[in-house]
Amino acid sequence: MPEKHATIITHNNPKSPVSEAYRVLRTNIQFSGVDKPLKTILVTSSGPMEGKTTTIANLAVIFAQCGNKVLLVDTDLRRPMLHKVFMLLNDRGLTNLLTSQNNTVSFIQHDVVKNLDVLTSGTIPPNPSELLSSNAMKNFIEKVKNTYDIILMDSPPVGSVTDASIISTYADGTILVIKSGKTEIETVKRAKELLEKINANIIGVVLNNIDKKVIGSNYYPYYYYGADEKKKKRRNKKKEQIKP
Amino acid sequence: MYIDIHSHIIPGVDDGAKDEKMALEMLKIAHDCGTRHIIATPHYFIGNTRFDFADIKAKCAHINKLAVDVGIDITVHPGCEVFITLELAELYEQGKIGTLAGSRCMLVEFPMMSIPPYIDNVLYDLQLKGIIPIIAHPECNIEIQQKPGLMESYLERGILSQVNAGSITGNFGVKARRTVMRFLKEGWVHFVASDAHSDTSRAPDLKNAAIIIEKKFGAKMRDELFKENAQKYLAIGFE
Repeated sequence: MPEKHATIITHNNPKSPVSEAYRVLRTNIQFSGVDKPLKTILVTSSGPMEGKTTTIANLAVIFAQCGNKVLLVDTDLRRPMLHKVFMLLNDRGLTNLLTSQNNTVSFIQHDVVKNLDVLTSGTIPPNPSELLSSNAMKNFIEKVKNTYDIILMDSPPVGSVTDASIISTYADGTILVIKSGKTEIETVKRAKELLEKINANIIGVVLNNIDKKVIGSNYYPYYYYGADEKKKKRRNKKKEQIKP
Repeated sequence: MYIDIHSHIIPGVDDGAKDEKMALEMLKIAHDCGTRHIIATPHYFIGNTRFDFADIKAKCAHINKLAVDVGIDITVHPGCEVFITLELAELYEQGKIGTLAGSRCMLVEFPMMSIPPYIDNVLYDLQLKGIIPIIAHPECNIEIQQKPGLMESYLERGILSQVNAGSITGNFGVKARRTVMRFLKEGWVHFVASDAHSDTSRAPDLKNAAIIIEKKFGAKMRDELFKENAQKYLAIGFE
């Protein structure tokens, strides 16, 4: 994987506060599965462009860093993004796997990051929903459950097509990504209802894109790990003010 | 004499001292302000750690030797600062993380932004293993800043707290300072430490914080927070 890709902050800057937030998210997921470990997780949203792929990519990297064997699957067969985030080829992927009789292994791209395997969407098919609800898909999920500690699935939004609802039936837990300041509350409620209708286990939401000011403007200038020049300067200024 | 229980003084294991030269410079600063014992507490994040806890002891011994060579009278003790995740008790069993200076106390770091629901379980698991958790710089946590009273529930359960000298002097901002002052008034602090990362902006200098505490709360409290509690809980620095 290329050294610097802006979207995957957990890989490029593991000590930033954003990476910390993903680390907390990972632990929260683990914690919500204390009684029955959550092995397959779907990340979706009510509408497009809310940050699903960024969230799932970073989450996958964090799980992998912590020593879990992770499979990240792009089940968005309409507008796949995952391969772009990881800068992978998408000439063969999930759709090709589902429609061929071949061994699964050749379609999965191994160790994209240490411990993290990625299965991109593959060739965009004319019938995504049918492919996702096929027996081949069911069998595939059952099969990889035995070889991986955790399987994360990126998907299209819940609101527009039935794909996410279909995939949620394979998932032990579903996470809803919500873009702060953009997603309408009613839209989220509707997405929640749609998922509940098919008994999806919604384990929580990720509130994305929060305005720094809302959570306390003091946080970022004084954040903990590392210190670049700008931060040092601000700290020193503060020191001068407060010293008697 | 001060005992500094939180520092990133070992070079090359985290975002602390960059090299041996900086580590020695930091020790000199620590010594000048009156510190005679300092615990090296490199960051431990599961999955993102560049050191083996088993090596920390040897690394401390090496720095101690360097300090003796240049004539700085200070002792570095092994420890680590562990970021809280569900696996802590397990990692402790495996020897991947450890306590401060061979004591029962472990320095535990909370996320900066929030108090996630799993924290109580993890602390409880550690306590079942006989560990006394010390919360590192709770005054910098945003949720605790908003609800300082949360601290009480931890202290009731025998969990200790360490605040940063820099929070007392205002280096970490107004909110951290306001929170730490509330803690000090309520008597919710066990240790003041430097959490030093370098020899410049975040140096192991406890002097100004000690002056402020002495002025506001008296010399007795200063001695407790900068020395006696460390002696009591960590059994170091009695000479």
